Amino acid sequence: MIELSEIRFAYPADSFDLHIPHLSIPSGQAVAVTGRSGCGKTTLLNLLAGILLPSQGTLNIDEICVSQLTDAQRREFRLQKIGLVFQDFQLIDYLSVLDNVLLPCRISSTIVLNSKHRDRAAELLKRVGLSLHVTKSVTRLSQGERQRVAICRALLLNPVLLLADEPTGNLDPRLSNEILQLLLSQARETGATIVTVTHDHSLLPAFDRVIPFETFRTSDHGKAAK
Amino acid sequence: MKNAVYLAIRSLRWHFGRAVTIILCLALTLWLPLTVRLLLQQFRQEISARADSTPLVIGAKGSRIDLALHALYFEALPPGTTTSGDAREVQKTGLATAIPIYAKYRTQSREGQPGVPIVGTSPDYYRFRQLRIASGRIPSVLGDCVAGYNAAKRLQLKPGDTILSAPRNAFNLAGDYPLRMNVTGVLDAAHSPDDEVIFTDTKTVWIIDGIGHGHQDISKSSDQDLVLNRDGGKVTASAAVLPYTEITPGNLDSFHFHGNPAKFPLTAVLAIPDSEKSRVLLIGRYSSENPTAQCLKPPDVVAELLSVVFRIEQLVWVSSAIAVLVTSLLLALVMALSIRLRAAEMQTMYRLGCSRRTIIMLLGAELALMLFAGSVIAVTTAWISKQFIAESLRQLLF
Repeated sequence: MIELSEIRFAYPADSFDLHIPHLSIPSGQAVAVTGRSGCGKTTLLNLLAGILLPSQGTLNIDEICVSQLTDAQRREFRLQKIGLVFQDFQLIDYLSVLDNVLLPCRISSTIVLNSKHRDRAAELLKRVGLSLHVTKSVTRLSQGERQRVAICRALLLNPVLLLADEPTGNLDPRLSNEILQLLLSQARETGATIVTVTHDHSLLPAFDRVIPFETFRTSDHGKAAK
Repeated sequence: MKNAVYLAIRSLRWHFGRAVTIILCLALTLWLPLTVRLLLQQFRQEISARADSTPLVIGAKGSRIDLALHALYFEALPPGTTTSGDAREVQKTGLATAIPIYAKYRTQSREGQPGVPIVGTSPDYYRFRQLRIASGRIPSVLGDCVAGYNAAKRLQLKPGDTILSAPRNAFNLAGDYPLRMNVTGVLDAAHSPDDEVIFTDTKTVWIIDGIGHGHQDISKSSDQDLVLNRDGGKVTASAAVLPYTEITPGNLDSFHFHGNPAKFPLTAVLAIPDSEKSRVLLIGRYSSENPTAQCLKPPDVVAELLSVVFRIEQLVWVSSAIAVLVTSLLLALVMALSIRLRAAEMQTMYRLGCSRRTIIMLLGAELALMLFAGSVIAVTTAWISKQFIAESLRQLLF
């Protein structure tokens, strides 16, 4: 269960102000957040991920008050409990497909990379049809394949929350649908809650719930594109 | 740390060109001072060891360094000639054993290799320097010589071969002829300048010098081209009678020296005192009494020379320090630009949950790996350079 209560966030030296009185997302639910560009959708994802800290209010994920964790605790929480999928994939060019998937283990100061992680990565890559590309450089993959690698990376540590920021934004409509289905099916398999920001209204029927961002009070939308 | 090193290796492999350029820059920056240090260290050791094992050198007054280097390395000519009388004087004092050195001439080139110095000395020299014969025997007769290990190797000499001395002046038609010397032996490698020369006795060198000579009996010559006219017992010989002088058992007895033997030239005298007291007495005698000769303590002279080398070394160190500073600044610039170019990658890692410390560790690991690789290359090439350049440098210096 994700619960946001009286969340307020403002960027310093900016008039953007986000106010979420209450938002509750049950575990395992697939949620789409829609809204105009710059309205603060990415800010919401960053708040959920613990990358940004609300100036007021409480944010609970799986009964853990994220807003009260220290920097280091939030980083580890993010690494272990939250999976992130970005619009531009954000893979590391100099790493192979497998190493990109294993990246969360390699950059964590608490997780020790072991054979279970390798098996899990191999299994995820097999599921998304990339088992023959594990040693390949990610630069040699197509856009769709790269996003699949990013999804595998997000799912590696069995996150309770999967945050996807326009995961199909760089893909053509056919591929968009395929990637979204993949993301949803993988999230459902692991029982993860998924919050996806999307502009593509044709994808909305696939979600359990759609939250129009306009339901939250924001000011100065135009400058909020951080 | 293991993961940071792994990611750093992957990153360096991916940015191969950039990494190799930085590694080579680092290697070059480290190589120069390292090589200079190694070479100077070896130079210092070699020259000091040779000097330390040579108690005293006596020779003509003038440049102390030239005299010491000549007595130790046979290369630079001393400031003036000393005489065999000086050697006898030392011997007569009973304070030291005098070993004459007369190293003024070279051999002719052989097998395409340039000639080597001919060092006239006494058998005491072989004992003093602990030179051992590898094959053949020590010279015992006028005209015999023994080749140093490297000289024999270069000139392809073995016992039984002959070698000609180089004429002093190719344009003096009436002058001295080269002396054909018999190689009676080859010395074992001593890893010292003794490997680079040919040893003979001083009398043989005096023959090359023209102080001593033999006579050829033309009346018995079977070569009619050499004889221009025979008029009873009077024989007129061609100027080409002697293309070189050769001392054979047949003409050995005809060789003789003109002049006062005490005035016969030497280039230096090594004095081996029998005690510390003798050494001090001998030094005192030369410092007060002798107006033409000087007595040197080679370690002191070499220390003077090394002080000059040390000043050069300091100059090299300053230059190297500047080079290291410039390289470090450039490296810092490259790293700063690299971090800027890789900002997206760092941002991704940070957003995934990577701490700034881990990111710094990752960049540090890259830098450390490049420094390590650069150092390994620098040390290896410095070592290789030392092997190849050390000898050339020594020859260049002396």
